[in-house]
Amino acid sequence: MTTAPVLDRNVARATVGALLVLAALAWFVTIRSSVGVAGMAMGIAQIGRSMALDMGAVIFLAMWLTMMVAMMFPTIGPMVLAHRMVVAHRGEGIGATVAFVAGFLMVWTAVGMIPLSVLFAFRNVAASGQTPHAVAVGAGIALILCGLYQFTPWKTLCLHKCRTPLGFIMTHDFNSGARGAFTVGLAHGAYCLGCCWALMTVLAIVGLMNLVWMAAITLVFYAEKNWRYGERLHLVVGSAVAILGIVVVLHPQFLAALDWGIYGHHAKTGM
Amino acid sequence: MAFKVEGDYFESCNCDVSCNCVFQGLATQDHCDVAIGWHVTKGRHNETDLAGLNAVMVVRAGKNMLGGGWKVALYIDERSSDAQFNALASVFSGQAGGHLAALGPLVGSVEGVTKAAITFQNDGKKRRLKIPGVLEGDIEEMTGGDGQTAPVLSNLPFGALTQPVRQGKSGNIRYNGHWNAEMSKTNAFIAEFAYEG
Repeated sequence: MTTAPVLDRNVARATVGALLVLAALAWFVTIRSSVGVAGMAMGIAQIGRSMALDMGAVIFLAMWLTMMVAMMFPTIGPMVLAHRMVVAHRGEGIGATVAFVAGFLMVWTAVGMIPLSVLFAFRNVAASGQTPHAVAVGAGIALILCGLYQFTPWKTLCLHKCRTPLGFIMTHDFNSGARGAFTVGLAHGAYCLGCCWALMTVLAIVGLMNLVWMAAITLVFYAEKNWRYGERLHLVVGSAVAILGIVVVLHPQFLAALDWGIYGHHAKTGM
Repeated sequence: MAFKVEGDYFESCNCDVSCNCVFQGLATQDHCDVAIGWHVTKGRHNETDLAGLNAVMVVRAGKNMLGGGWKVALYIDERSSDAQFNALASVFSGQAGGHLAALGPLVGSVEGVTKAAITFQNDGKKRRLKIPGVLEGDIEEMTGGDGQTAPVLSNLPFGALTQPVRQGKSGNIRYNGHWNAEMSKTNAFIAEFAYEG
């Protein structure tokens, strides 16, 4: 983590600390709520096997927002610090940082409308014990596409923006004040989305609030953005996801195994 | 120590020889265009080694540079890892502190912080800077009264470095990046820089 000396060390610690505390809190809430959704179809992989999603849109979005805090706050430390450093030169305080993070979260909250619509659209598929063949094959194809996205120049561009926080903030820091910070946050959220949507889609396929997948994908996000070898890691992850997709297309019943036994109605179909 | 870097310094602007801005005066043209190149020969930012890497800053300012509102574009050596990119960007933008931090309040907008194939050639009394398709040009030391060495300006009141600079003149220099600029047959400074912060 690159922190320049012009940013007070205690301010840096407090900022990252606050992000991590909020993330921990969000994990706690998510783990508690995951019990409540056991047995519900929280991803494409459970459609037809589990009870249809029985949840209001507002509750769903609140849950989604909590998940985004849990998954993203541990990964954005360097970006938030870079923003903090640049605005601190102008004498701006904590308000700008809060506005920046709010702008970032705004993008991901809006994106929550997509899984919400998809899961609502499949509400009428009765729980017959098995995911419809076409849905499973579709999920496999989606996994392949998500894997391939990791190899595109768009992914490389967005990842580079996320991995070079100071350059990003300097070129997007046009206005001072909370409003300017919020706009920069939106811009960062947009690049973060460009970087992470494919793996977030993987989560929406295998099941939102599947804690095993959530934790694994959070680790990948963290490593892609902050680890030394993150510049290459996305290719490894992309290959793995694409291969998983191919397996699902060839053997649709394998999709159920991706639950890791987290859901109440675990597949009895076997492999 | 958070960072300490040293190396070769290239500067050219659109002022006639010699630039008044470094004496806190007005540019000799109606605005100021300046291109600065750094070739790091030795140095690091925290644990990140920066030796051998280049960075370029291009500035468009008003007739009075001290009036601020600069438009700035920063180019970072494409051979950099992301860690080196972050380090070079924070050191040469002044965000990491040190002498360059004083320029921060004068910057109005940063138009780009971009990875680029920068070549910095050090050839006797000549320096050559090139970013394909963006910036290209050379500068050469002038000859002083002894008929051999360049006139030297030390202890400049205002500038990107505190070390003495040798007076030079540019050949043909053109910038076609975030905006267009020309700094041909005008002021140039050649030096060895050292920054720490």
